[in-house]
Amino acid sequence: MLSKLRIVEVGDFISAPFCTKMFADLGAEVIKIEEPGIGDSSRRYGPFFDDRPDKERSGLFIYLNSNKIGVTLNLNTSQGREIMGRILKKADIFVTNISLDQRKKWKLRYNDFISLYPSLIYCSITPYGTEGPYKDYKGFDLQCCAISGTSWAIGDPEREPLQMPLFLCDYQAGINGAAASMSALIGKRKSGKGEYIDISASDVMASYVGSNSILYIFYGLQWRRAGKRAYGSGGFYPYGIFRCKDGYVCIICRTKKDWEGFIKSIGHPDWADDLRYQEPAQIGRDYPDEVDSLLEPILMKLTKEELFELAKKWQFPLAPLRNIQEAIEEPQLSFRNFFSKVKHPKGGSFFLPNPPYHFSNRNRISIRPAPLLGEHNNMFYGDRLGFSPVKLRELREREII
Amino acid sequence: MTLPLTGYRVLDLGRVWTGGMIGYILANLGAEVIKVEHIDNLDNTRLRGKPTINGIKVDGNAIELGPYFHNLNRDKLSITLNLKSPKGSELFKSLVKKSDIVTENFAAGTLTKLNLNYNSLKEIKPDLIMISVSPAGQEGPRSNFKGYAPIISSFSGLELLVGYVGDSPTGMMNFGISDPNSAAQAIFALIAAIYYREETGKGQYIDMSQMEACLVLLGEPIMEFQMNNRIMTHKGNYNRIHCPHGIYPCKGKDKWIAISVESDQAWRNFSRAIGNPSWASQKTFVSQKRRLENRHFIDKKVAEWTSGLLVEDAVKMLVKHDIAAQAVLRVEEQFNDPNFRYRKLHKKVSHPLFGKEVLFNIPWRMSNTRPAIHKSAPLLGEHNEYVYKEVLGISDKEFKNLKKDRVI
Repeated sequence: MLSKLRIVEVGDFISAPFCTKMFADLGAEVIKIEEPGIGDSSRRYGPFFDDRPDKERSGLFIYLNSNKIGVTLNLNTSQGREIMGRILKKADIFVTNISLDQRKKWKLRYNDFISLYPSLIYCSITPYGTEGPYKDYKGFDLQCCAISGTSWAIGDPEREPLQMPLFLCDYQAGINGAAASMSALIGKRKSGKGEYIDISASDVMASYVGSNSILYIFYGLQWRRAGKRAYGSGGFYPYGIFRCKDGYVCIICRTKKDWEGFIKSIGHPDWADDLRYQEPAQIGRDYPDEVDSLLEPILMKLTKEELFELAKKWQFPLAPLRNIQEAIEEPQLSFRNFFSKVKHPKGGSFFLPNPPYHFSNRNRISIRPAPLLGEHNNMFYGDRLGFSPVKLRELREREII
Repeated sequence: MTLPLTGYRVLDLGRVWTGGMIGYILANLGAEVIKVEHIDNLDNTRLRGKPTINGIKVDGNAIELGPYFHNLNRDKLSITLNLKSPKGSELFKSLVKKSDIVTENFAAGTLTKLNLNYNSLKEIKPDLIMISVSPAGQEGPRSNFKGYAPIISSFSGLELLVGYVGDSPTGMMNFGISDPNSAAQAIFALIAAIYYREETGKGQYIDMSQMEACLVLLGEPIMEFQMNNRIMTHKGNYNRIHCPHGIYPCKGKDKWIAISVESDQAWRNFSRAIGNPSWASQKTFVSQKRRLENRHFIDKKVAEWTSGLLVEDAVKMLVKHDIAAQAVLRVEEQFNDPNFRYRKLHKKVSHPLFGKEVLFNIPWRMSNTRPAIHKSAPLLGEHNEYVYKEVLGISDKEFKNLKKDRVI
């Protein structure tokens, strides 16, 4: 669907790679540029087979960089930077999340580009943005969780706040970068001009937290961590994680109807008729622990899946807290062909997720495995840029590629 | 400056966070977004009762006062329309003929029951772009799955990954991350479809699953399971490779600092920043591998250092030495943070009934086509006259009848 688009990525770890992956998964050509011999740091992150580190067998790298063309280029050299210029001349979008210092060294700042490539869309992703008082601060996912108000709302009330799992801030920054870049492409049709997109991961998370926290702050609750439940049970009850026979479930009732369905599903215990337990809003605000203990013996007799079935029957919101195996074995996913089998030349055969959206006017592309370091050098520099085999050998010997 | 979606008309059937957010992003990118509700079928976010400010309930019509609703529906037009009535359905189809995009996040099958799904609508407008976001997709054994954001993230495997080491899972119950995650991915897909239509003239239908939108964030555990048959569990504030990495207490009540030391070079800087104490100069800690093996001890020592400092001072000292460090802020503290102020995270607007309020800008800082907020959310049915009389050309008499019959 986006097969005419050409994206160039000088990215590392998650945010920029996931951003360009979203384009690659819809057919765009993504050229991922890595430093010779070193490559993207996610190659060193893992997980690895038998925990044996190998830059060609890192699970995270393999997942994030499928469908991309992989070349190496030494941007520390002037010749490398000259070649980069040739690559950028034909690019529609450039995506990077390397530091401002690194961009300066490699002459990859937007100001280095603007006169040379006036119709290029430059998408920058950094923890705090490239303009502002924190632009030179180092920051990772953990710091974004901290500044955005995310961690404030996760964890036990008397203990340290928690991070989100799996570098979710990085993914959200990448997703917003992709959406903004797509929007800039449409804008370019009207104006003919490229533009500079400055995505700050902490801005992205802070805007999410901002939206969400309004529900608490303006309704007598606090946006603050409260352990396994939402603060004040979200103004109703229950709203949290409960232990059951073989694991945990998440139960959320927001309406009287939800609550009545829940009470019926657990066999309408006698205490449910007690005047003290008629107003879920009151329970959630004043004595949720008490009702949690009343629920405990009932829930501990039932498994996750039994509770899930009861919830469907009695129409109240509940889901098991699935682990990754249970999550991916969900039959709905194979119905929607969510996984594609991909054979990676060194990594083995895997099932990789497809994008979560189906387009009616588009055929599913089969997933091409993530590139080995410099795998497409010959194809790209040779066929595409027209370098002769002699030149290619020379560039390799001088460690330009 | 012309925004990218100026000239596009969207019929926004979206509800709550996901649906609201998709609509407001389109509106702030320049599209005319018409939010469709009916007095018998209001967006749930209008139904939370009267909001309170400093403990005092705001006076007025509760369905118009919700600040959560305002933030999610800024810059939209509002019409009322009963999609369940035959006349209402017909009116909707007339509107589709004059629109470009339809967005919705009802439970799967809702619009099919009303004969207003994509297959019906594309008869009227062949190049229509329509997106349906549902918890599990429009079809399949689980397509009837319903639930709020934390339900979806529990089902997808995310919530089990949040908790203190050695404890049962804590989860992220306050934070419905699945909703904005879905909306942001949906916007990408939708704008890609618009781009495609501008190229080819063809519209299309996008069927998106929120559960899958969560699962694409789970690449690491998906690969760990396939490679090593290992099921990842929650790990507190640890990190596979950074050490120290965690949230440490500072002076005062509930003050915390988030510190990440990502390399051996950073460790040397960190030791310098904290005054080169003897424990940090131990040869054992020179390598990352050894630091990771001794993380309990290192965490304890780091916490001893941070506990003696105000968080602002600790951050300053570490940042000076190029260490990743940041205060754990309360959401209220966002307003005074210099970086958020500079980058205009917040936008002050005035709502006719609620008064002054603060909305959240779309976090895309762009040199030419930055999305912009102009107004707060519309009142219910505020644009009925404009949409029905001007856009559809309905006569005054017919308009009155539609109101009488509660079609609108």
